[in-house]
Amino acid sequence: MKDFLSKSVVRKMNLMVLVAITLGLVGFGMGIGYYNYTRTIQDLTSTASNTIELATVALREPLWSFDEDIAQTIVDAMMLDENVARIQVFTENKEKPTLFSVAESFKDVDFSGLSADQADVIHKSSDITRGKEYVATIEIAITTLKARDFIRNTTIAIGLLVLGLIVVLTTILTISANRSIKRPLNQLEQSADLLGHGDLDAEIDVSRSDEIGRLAVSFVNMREAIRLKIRELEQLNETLDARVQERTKKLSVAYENLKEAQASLIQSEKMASLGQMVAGVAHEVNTPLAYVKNNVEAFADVLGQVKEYVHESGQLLQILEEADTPQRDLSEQKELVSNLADESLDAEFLQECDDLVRDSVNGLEQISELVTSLKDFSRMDRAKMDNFNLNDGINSTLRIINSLLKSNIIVEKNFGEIPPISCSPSQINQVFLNILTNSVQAMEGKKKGLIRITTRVRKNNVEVIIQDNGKGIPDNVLPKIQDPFFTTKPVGQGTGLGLTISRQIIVQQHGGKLHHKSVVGVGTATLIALPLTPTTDMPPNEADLVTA
Amino acid sequence: MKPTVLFVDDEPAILRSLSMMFRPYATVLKANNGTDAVKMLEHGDRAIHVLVSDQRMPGMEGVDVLRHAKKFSPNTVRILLTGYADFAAIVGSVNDGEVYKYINKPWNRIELLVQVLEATKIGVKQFEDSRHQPKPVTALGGTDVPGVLIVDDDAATVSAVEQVLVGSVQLHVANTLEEAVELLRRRNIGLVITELKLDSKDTMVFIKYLKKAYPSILTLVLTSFRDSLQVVELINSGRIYRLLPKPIRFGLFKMSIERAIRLQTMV
Repeated sequence: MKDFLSKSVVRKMNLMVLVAITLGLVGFGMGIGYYNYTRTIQDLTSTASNTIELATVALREPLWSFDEDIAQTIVDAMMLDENVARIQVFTENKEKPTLFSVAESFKDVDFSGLSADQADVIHKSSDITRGKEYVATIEIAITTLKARDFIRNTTIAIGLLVLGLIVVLTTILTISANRSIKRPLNQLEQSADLLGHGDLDAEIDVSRSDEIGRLAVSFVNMREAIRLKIRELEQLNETLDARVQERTKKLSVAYENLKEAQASLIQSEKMASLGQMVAGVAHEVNTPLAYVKNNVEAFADVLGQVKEYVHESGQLLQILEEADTPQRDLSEQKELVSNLADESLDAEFLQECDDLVRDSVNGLEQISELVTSLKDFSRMDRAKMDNFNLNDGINSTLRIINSLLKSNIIVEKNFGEIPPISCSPSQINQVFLNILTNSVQAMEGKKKGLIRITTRVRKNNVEVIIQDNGKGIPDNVLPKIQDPFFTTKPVGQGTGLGLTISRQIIVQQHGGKLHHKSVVGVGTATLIALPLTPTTDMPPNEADLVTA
Repeated sequence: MKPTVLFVDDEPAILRSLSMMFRPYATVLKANNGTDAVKMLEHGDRAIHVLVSDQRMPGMEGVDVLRHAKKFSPNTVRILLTGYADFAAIVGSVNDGEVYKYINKPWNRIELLVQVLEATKIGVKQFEDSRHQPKPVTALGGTDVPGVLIVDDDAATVSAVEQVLVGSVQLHVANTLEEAVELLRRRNIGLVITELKLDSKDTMVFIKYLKKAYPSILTLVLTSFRDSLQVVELINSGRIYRLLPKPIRFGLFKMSIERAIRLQTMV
């Protein structure tokens, strides 16, 4: 019921109207009933008066003449009135109050339970007189039962009529409500529904001037407002597109800039490590170069002395050959030559020269070795991807950083039998250089530094473990060391990209692993693991460094 | 008698090469490491007039050899002969080692020869002076005590110097190089304190001029730059006495100035 009502306003309204009409009609019916009733009672009362008046006139003469039969006939005739329940005519002796009935008639009306003063029975009595002579007394009782029956029947009839009216009215009301409220409301609902689904052109009837009409107008207004908003939104959308495009453009420019910046940073990191390397190598070359150069310059002087000696010796020989040379000249020349030999070209000096020649050759050997290891390290003249033994890479890297290691650091090589693997040797060497340089820097100020390098095969990997006894890395720093731009060095001294690039090379480009373990005050260990068989045959690409 | 020169290098070939080069002019001593060199300087039975040391050696570094030399054999002239030295080492060679010359490897044969031989002359003279004339002690605050000239437009530096001197010697302040030259001409100056940059002008020329015109004046240079080459030039051409980094560390500054005044008043 609740559902039935809550789903339709019209139903609610109908029900309310119905209740109102019912109440009105019931009230109306009751009013009419009451009015009928009082009117009937009045009629009956006046009927009783009339009847008794009539009887008084009609019975006077027969009773005067004691014609009781006629009196009875008159009474019986009067009894024909359906409302008259009883008529009694009796004579009353004024002196002797004895009552005797002259005529009497009554109907089979149940008077029991009815008292005389009740409205159901109307009693009337009147004295019949002739002149001034008393004749008899007539008493009449009129019943209202008949009237009440009639009223009840009338009321029932009215009730039925009312019921019929209600049914008819309800039907009319429902139909008219349907026509004037529900249908337009449904139409509005449909329009609103269509509107809700985006159909802004759905027809809305605004011809009505009632509330529904106004509601429809409101709907139309609303629809116009929505249409306006939609248009605004569409315009916004259009400009938004333009704005988004602009932003995207800016972003892509920024991204390009960032990529360039990253590329230049990677370049500067490369330059920094290259610079470090070059400085180290320069120092390595410097020492042999210094003495070889000095020695060769010294030999130039020596050569001058030897030339002089050879020249004077030649002179001496010439003098000896010429028989007529004076003895004095000969002895002078002899002394000159021997002085030359004694002063500068003595045995000790010549021995020294031998040593210096040997030194010079050794020095040049050292320089050429350095140049070779530089070439080995950079492998500029070799294929980018090659079968490469990591032990060789470590050795050439160590030669490059020899000048860093020299004074206080011992390198312990614990090389295992490892097969050559397919990789990019120059990049792997760059990683070795980076990690070994870090180790060396971690041992700054340490009296006895130790770097232990272990190589081995484990499962499907070649592993290189580089351990140092440097200052170590704190636990809160360790997870960050491979992050781009993370550095503990002062501003300007480290790009913070060394290990980032190392990770790129080992992990991204070679499918390997790069792990660090460290204990502050004890040292740091770095594990480089490279697969025995390459997981990717893509040649390493410089651009990968940038995009990653 | 030939002067004595001690060469220190961890590379024997260098020692052999230098030894042959200087044999005609000097008695050549060789040390393969800093520790041996310091032993020879401290306990050697002969005067070593010139010390030529490499910087980067296992064990003791060149700067430390110089510092020990200054302590055990102050009259020995100290030269650093090295292929590479970081900035700190070079500054250390000035302030701790009071280095006479800084020479790069590989060297120019003639230059090295000239510079070492020049150094031997100074060394020989210093040894002779110390033997024959014990240094006279002049009372501080005397009338002929040389004053201090500060060439700096930075008020903080001037007030720092004032704090150090507390009126013990006369302080002259020059805001420009012209003023400085004028003051040098008119006053008795023993120590010049100067910035490397004055009013954005390089004072290197002034420092070189100072050494040429007034060889006995000590030069203390303040700088916020970290350029090894510049320092080498200051050593070789400016013969600077101290190089102190800016901002000034007061303790070090005070020690340097006091030592300079003590040196000058005893001359």
